[in-house]
Amino acid sequence: MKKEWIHPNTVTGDAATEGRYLKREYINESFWREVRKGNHILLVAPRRVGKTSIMKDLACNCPEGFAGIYENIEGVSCKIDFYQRLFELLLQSIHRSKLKQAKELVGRWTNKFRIIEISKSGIKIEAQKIDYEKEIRNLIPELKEAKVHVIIFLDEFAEIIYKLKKNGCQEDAISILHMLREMRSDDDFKHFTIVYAGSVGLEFVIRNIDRPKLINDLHPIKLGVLSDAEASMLISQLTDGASIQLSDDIRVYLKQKISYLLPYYLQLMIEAIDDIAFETKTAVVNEKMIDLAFLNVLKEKKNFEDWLLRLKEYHSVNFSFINELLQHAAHRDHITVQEIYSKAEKAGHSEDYMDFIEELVHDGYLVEIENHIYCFISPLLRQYWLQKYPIYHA
Amino acid sequence: MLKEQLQSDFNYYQNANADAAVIREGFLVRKYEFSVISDDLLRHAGQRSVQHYLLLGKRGSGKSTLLRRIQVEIDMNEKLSSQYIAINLAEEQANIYRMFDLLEEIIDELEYHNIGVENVEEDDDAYTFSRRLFAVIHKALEKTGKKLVLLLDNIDRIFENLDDEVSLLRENLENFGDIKIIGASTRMSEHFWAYNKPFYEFFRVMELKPLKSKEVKDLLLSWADALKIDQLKDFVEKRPGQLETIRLLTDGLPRTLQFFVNILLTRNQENGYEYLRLLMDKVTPLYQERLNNLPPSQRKIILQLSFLWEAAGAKDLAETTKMETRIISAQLNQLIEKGVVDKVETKTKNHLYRLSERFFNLWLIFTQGSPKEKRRARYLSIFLESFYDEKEFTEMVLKHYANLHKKQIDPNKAALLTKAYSQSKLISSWFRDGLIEETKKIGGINENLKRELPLTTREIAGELVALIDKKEWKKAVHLVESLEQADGAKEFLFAYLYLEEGRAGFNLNGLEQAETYARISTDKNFPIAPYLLIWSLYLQNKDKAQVYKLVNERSLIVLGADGDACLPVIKVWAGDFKAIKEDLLNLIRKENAYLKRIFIGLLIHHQSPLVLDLFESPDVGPGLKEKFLPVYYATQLLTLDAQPISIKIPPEIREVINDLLIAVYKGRDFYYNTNEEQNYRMRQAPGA
Repeated sequence: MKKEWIHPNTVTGDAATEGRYLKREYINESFWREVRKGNHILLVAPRRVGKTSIMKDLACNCPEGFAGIYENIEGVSCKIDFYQRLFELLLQSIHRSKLKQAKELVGRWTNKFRIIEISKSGIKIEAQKIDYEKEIRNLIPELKEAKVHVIIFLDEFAEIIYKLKKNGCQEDAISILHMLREMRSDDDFKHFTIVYAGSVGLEFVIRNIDRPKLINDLHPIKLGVLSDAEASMLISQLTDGASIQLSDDIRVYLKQKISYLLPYYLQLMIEAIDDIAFETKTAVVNEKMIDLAFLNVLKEKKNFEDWLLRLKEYHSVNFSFINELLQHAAHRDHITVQEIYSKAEKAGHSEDYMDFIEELVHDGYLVEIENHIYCFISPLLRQYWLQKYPIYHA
Repeated sequence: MLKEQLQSDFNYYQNANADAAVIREGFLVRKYEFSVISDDLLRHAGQRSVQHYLLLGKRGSGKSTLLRRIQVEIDMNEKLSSQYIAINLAEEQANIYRMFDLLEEIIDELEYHNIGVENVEEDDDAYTFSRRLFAVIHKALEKTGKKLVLLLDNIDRIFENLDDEVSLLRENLENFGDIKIIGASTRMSEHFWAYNKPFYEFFRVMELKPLKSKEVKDLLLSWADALKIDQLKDFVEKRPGQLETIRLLTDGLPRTLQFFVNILLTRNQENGYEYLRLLMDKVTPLYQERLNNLPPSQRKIILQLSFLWEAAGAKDLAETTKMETRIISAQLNQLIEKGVVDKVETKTKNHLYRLSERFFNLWLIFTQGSPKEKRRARYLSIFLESFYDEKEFTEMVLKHYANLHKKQIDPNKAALLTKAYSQSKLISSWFRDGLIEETKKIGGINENLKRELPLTTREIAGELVALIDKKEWKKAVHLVESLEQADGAKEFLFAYLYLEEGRAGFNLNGLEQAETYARISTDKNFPIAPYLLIWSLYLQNKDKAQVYKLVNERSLIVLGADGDACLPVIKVWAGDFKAIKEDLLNLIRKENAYLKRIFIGLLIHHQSPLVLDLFESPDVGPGLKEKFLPVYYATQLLTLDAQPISIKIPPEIREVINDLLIAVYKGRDFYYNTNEEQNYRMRQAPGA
């Protein structure tokens, strides 16, 4: 009988959980350390870095005394809606706690508002016209007595603020930020933590509404790339039991090819390798297959052209300066702040050069790999830039 | 059952609606994609992380069939059906404009699967209503303990309608992990790649690429085996060339491939035109729909692109469509995104474009082209040439000629086939002329078809001479381009055209171009091409050795008296004096029209004694003197002592003789790199 082909265990797009997720203990440890200190966390990372996977893992593996819940809230459309969601999330997370006091707390609140049901799919409340903002303020102080610390992971929070501003509700956005800031500084709210994350950088959005102080107390945790050893572990995890086989040398080659070791790109490459291997029925992966896989991934990402056009369109005046920075980062692997400054001097941007860098980071072009050193977040986008501008004279 | 399905025209458009067993049994391509998805479904049923998929491919590439195949697998595989509910919104998707439309369709389907879903109170606020609908769906799924696999054909259109509401969808996918989307789309719309869109790089994209040669072969052999059709097996094994042609014409799209196979099985393929016509009839609904789905401006562009047939640039299209280049470029980008047009990258910024599916291109010319476009486009010829090998093709042409000759063919069909064959590279120009002339002899050809008939080579040559006389060079080039034959006739006419253009001083490179074409035509053994090659070399004063060789190697006396006239001059220039006097006497006796030009040529090449000898000859001399007196004086002046002769010259012809001498000196300056013209003029200047 013909042996069936087993595909690797990848997941691209949705968050990785369970066997598909590579846990990095040091992230979890540093996270809980900050939470215990009383900090509210801001998870900082561009899209496709794996924020959601980390948040889901943290929410599912809370230490004793904590009740965590993850929620993507990008569908929220107004202030009332936001408070309602927060209120429901609070009750849902307390409901998950096995502590007797927590159960009692939930019991009291279900009676108060004639709550018929609290389940995974939401909360059913019979009472009409609830002032959710007020009730949140009433509920959270009771957590202390219930001996439960609720931690809510709000994914795409920045997106909500951005959307409110875009729809002409800037005041609502500011009011939400004020309310959350107030709670963070109030001792009665110490048993409650929010983790803020989003594809759109929160700092960027807040700066747009001119209220940087409303989030400057958040503790940022930066999510970086995988280390070499972690990347090797992820490769093993993804290919465990799969038909394709990668020797140690080939793993090294694969990592070199990707260079910026984000789980997403590793997974994309493994999928592309599997595609080639399946077609040729060659289970043992070689360098040629990796090269071809890289080209195929690059070819399939047909829309890189748009990344360039977008810059040309939005930055018609400053395009050549921005492009100079990107070309440098593409050809020299990275660009340092000194190099950026020297180019900015020449281009007459010595005052505002970091605005451009922040925008490139925010829009998913560059990432800060070390303090003030930036590189392309996507090896594929970098390759596209190299193809587009094969000659670079610094 | 499968056999019935395949034989009844392969169930052309309805594959996605076919019976589950048929779908399962007849699923022979897109195996990798199916294997990845079904493997994922089996192995990760209980997990929270859900891999969503986007199947990307052209119309007819098998997206809907793959979606249906996945649905069938989930329904029929016990393990999967215990963990998933598959909902395929194939037809209903036309009704989806808002998120709640999609959710209500899902609820209807869940109820159809006997899954109870709570009633939802309507709300004026669409967002609130959608959230309620989501909640009851999640609850219903939680009760069943199963995940929903949502198969969404044309997902790009759905996302376009949902607009900002897609955020709500993503939120629910992330928060609950109980819905898996497998979408299909003809294009990668910005929802899937724009950084600021909720579904940025959210799906695993699987591109359904054109089937490769081996896949096509395997597919047809599987059909042949499953259906026990030896004819098909024979075809695959014995006609690999034709098989590859089918693949190229259909762009490896399974749906279009089926049309070919079906006709191949059910009709005999002796008559290429009938074959093509049948295919066209079959594909018309599919292609008509494709055409109707495009906005008018894009329709216009693809029509013009199809008439051009070969890859063309935005500028060419701007010219034919009379639209602005920047608009054309924007529309072309959209057409590329839709998979209708392919971009051919060039080394410059100006890329070329062509229709991706060549058979669609043929269909457009066939059904949408005016007689003029049809006449220009070689749709049928291209099809016939690529579909049959040279031997088969030649046999078909000969048979056609015989039918024409015996008038045993329907007049309209005769005209179409003649047009097709006469535009083929595989026949000679003389045979082409024969076909056209024989066809014209048959009466009763419809007027449009008559207009589509090409000109004969002879007619083209006649028109070419007329256009050259009128100095209409561009028109002349277009005219010669209409010839397709590969026997050297086309190059010969080009050589002639450029020679005349070069000599007339309208094209500085004309003589060089003439030489190039004459060489190609000579290499193809076109009978009179060496003459033009010799002539073009002579006029450029180059390669005397080759001319000498050509003159001696070939029998060039084929053009008749006028055509051969300049040969003695060229022979003298090349250093070949064999029988030169005899040749000249021969031309003089035949009263060649170019004698004056010959004498001047000979004088240029320092043969005044020879010319004078002819003028003094008792036999032909008196006649020559009478006819060419100025030439005679000029020859005398170039041969003997000028002083006494010039005194004798009648004053009324002095000016003419002067011009003749200047022409000779000019010629000498060119051929021998001298300065004779200037010296002569100085001698003639007053006071010299």
